[in-house]
Amino acid sequence: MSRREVVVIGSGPAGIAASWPLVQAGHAVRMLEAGTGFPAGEPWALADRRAGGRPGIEALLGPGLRGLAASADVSPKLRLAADPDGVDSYTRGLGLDADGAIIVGLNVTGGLSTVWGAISPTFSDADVAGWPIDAAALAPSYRDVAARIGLSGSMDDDLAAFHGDGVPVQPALPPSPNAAALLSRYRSSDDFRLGRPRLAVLSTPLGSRAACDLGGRCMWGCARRSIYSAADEIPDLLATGLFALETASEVRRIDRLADGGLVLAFTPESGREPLRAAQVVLAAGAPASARLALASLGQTEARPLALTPAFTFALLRPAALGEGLPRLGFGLAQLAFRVPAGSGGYAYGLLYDAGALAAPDLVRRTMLTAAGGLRLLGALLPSLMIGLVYLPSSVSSASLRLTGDPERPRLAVSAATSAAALALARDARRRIAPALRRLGGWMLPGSFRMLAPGSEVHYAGPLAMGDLVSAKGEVHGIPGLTAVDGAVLPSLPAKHHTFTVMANADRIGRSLATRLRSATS
Amino acid sequence: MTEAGARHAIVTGANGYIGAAVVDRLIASGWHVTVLGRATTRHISVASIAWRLGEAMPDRLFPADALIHLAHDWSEAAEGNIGGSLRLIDAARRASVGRIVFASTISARADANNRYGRTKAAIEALLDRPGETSARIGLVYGGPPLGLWGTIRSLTKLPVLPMVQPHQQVQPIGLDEVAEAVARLAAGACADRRVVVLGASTPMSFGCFLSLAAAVEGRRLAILPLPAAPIVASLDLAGRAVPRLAGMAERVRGLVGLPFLPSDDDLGALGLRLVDPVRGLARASRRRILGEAWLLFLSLGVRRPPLAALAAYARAVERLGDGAPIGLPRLAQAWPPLIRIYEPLSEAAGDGRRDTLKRRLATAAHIADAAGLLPVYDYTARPAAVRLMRAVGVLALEVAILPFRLVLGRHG
Repeated sequence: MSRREVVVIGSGPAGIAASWPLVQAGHAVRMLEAGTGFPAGEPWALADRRAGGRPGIEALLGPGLRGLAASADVSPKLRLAADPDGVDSYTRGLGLDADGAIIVGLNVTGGLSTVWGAISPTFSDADVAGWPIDAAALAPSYRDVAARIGLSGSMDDDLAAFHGDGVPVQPALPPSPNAAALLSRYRSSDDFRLGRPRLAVLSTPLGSRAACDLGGRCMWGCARRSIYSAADEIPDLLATGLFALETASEVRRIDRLADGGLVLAFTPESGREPLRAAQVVLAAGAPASARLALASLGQTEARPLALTPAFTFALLRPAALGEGLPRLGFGLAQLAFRVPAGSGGYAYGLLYDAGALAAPDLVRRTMLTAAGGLRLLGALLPSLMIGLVYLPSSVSSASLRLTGDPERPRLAVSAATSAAALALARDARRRIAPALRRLGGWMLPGSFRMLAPGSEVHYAGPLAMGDLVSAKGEVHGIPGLTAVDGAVLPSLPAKHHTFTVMANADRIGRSLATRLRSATS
Repeated sequence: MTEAGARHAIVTGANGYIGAAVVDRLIASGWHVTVLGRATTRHISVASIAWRLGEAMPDRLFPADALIHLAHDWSEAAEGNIGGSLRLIDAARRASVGRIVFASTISARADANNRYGRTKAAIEALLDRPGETSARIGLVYGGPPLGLWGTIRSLTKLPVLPMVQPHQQVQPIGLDEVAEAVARLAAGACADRRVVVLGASTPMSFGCFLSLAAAVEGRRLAILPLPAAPIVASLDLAGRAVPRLAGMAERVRGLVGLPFLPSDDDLGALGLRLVDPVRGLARASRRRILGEAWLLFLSLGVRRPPLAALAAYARAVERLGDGAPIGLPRLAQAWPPLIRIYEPLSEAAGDGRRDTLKRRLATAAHIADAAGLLPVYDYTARPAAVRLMRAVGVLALEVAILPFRLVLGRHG
């Protein structure tokens, strides 16, 4: 069997998902990661820590307290669990000029999946409307990826089919008291559908990864590796003998050679000689992959950027006012819901237990004083939930464009909350509030807040399949360059897209593996 | 009374801003110190002998290994300082003191603009034998607010500082760095050099230095540049009537004529690497930031903030914030719960460069949270009515203080 080496740029979910079919087909994969590994830390239990127990300040806010450095506007998990150096270096690498948008990435093995919320629904035919592929084309990949990363959730609630039923799913994690109470009063309706979220979190062990022990430290990173991270798959890939990972290797440019090959130039900090490659897979995350591909194409026109506008609200369960915080519990999304929004579309929401979050994060964005806000939380935290609602990218308004000189291309991103997004968000809130009221939850007045565009970290579109890129991820005009990450998804529904990014990367990886085999045989 | 083997240093001007630091440093490195001066020092192990510049040498002063001459009599005419120094130097030479270190200034020149510079240059000229070194000291900062540093600290409390030549280059050096350098000189370093320069090897504008010094006080300084010549002339004129103003004209003139002296070689020979003044000045504000941390933690309901949390706050402010104390009003310092009436509604600062009090409180809250100190997470069931009353009470207070916050909110 003759082998062809494929260079994969990026060790996040897309790069890892694309590597598996290549390696399984006998091709060698050389993965380049701009960052290095970042340890998840010690396993500790949230309730113990709040009683003043170990592990102490630096363990929670990062060495040198760098966790405090990140912008207050990004998700608390990115602030608390991510390697801030990785966040900074991603932005620096992009040469990012963001106008009205928050664009984040993470130069670390595993990429953003080291800090994600693990929400993993599949996309339906309606969700991929306008794409050059249908949902059936993703089905085998969804199955394989799900089997590898491990999903948990409910297969018999009102959202089971909506979250996808053709994939293996472990039993759902036990719901928190607040979530269980809301669910117990829920009666099926078309206007408001409620269920358990579909999560890439283990309720039973898988391989070397342990099942969730409800320690509650999810926001600070999961030391048990119950929450999937692409970094967890690297040892398995290395074990195939066909896979190599090279960290601290940040690609600055990809150029075409006269003989048809590609050459990768690295940043000076990486201190690497340029690397020749016949096949390069772009999986650096949508903004970084877009920057590299657009620079290779010399394309300086503005490209669409699909974001999923999002808003938050606070929900109070008066019936739980006298409860204590649960000592054990899962710290990410407890419940998922779907409401109709726009013509035939939907908004997708999640409910978190506020007690699983760091209280200062909840206070600092309000107008309350720090002291008053914390005191208020002291009284309300056990009965408080935080809602996070997403809208489809069709109402987002964002674009990105390559700027700067060709040697040092920069990425300019501009975005704004469109009037359509705001209207759709208000419409969704009008539907959600009474539905939750019937279940015993009161949306707190004044708690509705639109998130800054991009802070939800759902990026897609600049290298859309069917436009700059073929349905098989081939970048038109640059033979040997294949894009596989979020950048190639033409649009996003209100649902979370990481699982679909992985499935699509797997699908493109399979077709690349087949192409390479037929080319060499 | 001298321990066997301990070296003996005689120090003049030991109660001054630099002198006190030098004595501390000498004692820390095992010197036996005799203070020659006006009053006793705070070190009980230090012998002190009453003396004034110009007076005859007291008995039983020598033998000594080093004389460190820091005293300068501002009330005296140039002649008094020069004559007094000469007496002192002669006495030391007669007693075979092997090392004489004299505190001079970067402005020392025979034709210096001000008398201070000319006086120091004249004394430097006396020190021409082996083992005699004049240390030309730059702009000293840090430590207690005394000397020129004290003057600078009080100037930076002004809302607007009218200033002659803010672009004048100065060579800052930290007080502890000067003390270290003088101690090394006393121990024999650079004994072959008649003059060493103690100041930053890269100069910085005086205006910039003052802005940084203002940040130590948690203030932002507006500098109003003034032309030098008319100011000096008018100060001179006024100085004839008001003696205090004469001293000011003297200082201004000293600043105007300040040369830049390369210091790399001397610092290298002394084995010293100076801290960047930007960093050094930030460090000077650490005590105030720790005090601020204490007050903010108390205001958040943390009963006894542990040192680790205070230190973490100071680190966070220095590394990730703007590095300067926020400058809490006296009322809030006296009663920390009042801090909330100065808390702005949002974290965003006016110019985005200075931290707002709200951001500082968020930092303190995150650190208290990470240290497990926040009395927020209640794992025990309690009567719903109690919790409800508490929530209503908090909200009522929040509404009541809202007008104060709108008016008083500290935007850095």
